[in-house]
Amino acid sequence: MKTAITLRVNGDAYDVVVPPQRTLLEVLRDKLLLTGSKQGCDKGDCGCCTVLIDGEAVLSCLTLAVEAQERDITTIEGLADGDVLHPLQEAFIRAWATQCGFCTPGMIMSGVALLEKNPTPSLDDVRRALGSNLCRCTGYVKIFDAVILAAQMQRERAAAQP
Amino acid sequence: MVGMKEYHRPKTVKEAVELLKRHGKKAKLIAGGTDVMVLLRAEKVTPEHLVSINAIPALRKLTFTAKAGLSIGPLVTYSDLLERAVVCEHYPILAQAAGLIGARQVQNVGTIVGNLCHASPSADMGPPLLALDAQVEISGPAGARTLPLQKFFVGPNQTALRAGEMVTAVLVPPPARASGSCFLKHGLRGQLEIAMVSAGVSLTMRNGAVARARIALGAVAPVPMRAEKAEKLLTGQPFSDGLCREAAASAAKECKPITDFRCSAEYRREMVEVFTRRALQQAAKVAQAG
Repeated sequence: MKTAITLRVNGDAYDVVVPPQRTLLEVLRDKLLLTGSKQGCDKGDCGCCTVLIDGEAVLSCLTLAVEAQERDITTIEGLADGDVLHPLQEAFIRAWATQCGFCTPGMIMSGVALLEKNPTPSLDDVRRALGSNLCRCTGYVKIFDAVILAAQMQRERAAAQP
Repeated sequence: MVGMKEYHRPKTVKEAVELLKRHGKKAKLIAGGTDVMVLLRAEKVTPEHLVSINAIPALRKLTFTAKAGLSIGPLVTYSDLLERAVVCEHYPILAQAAGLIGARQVQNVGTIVGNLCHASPSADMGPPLLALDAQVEISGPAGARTLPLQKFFVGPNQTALRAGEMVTAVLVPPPARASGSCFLKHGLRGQLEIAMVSAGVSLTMRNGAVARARIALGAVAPVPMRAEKAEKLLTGQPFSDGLCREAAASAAKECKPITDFRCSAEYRREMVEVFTRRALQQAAKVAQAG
């Protein structure tokens, strides 16, 4: 039996009709065509599908779409403000933190969740926050650099504001 | 996920219990879902009815009073435990264990009660809660009952829950004065790790001697277990290095490890001795300071 639900994604409300077993990741990608969140292992090991629900990093492959109703969902598509990238997106470019790019959306969402809670993270904090996000290209060093850089950029942006 | 027919979102425990009773073995309860979703997607369980308790806000409660102790509702997540000052202050062993489960994304949605109900022999919340003499509060068609956690674990992935029953809270007694606890987990990685061996211990000192000792072990028996002979060795004795070694050796004898792809039974037994000793030393240091 299918269920009609409303999903709030990146500030927009989407009415969808889904079977109960459909994961949030499947609905984001296949119904809402928000394909930034990646399907990696599909069982909670790789972190590629990380999105924010009510500000917390969660795995959308282990979340049923029906369980995500009435919550605020943020995906990688919701971070930039028009052409202005989120500081962490900008930092990934500046620090050369991306190679193949498949893990990047998940890495950025985990990093954003960390920076929201802790604007001055140590390297250890960053390693822990990204501990469930696998990257098979970079060796992680530049990814960690990017999160530290983004924290710095956020502070600079905040200081520059009148 | 073949054959799933219906998703239920009860608003009360009573409704949830009725659904679980009505659909019996065809129903599966879901909370955080970090274990259930993996089982569903691998088709290791194939329920026709999924009963989500996520729309019952009362189950999200995490309360502490000096008299009653800590009550952990079935929707309380690992992150909830980590972020609550009262837990870090009075039950640091629970925060230690919660911080070692999976990684951030799992800690944000996975629940303590779910960890117990999944009843993996390596469940990280098992040993610390056993060491704290936790009780499990259960609701079912026949009413409510409370079980010591030790009796809740029946076998690998098996609990004492009867048809239609669900856990409504885990109750942890108030912390005793001059007590200390410690949880240690032995794995190859810092995160996303399943324990090869884990040890949760709790000690209470009185007049220079050990008044109460709990040693609980994970991943070395069909269920998270207590090393009761080792506990008896410690009780009533002044804590010393020699006594600590004796107790650790006893714990290693008492456990019943198996060999699997993670490591051998012999290795697990050796590590039980090492990690029990280290955990006891750390707990004793805290208890003696208090």
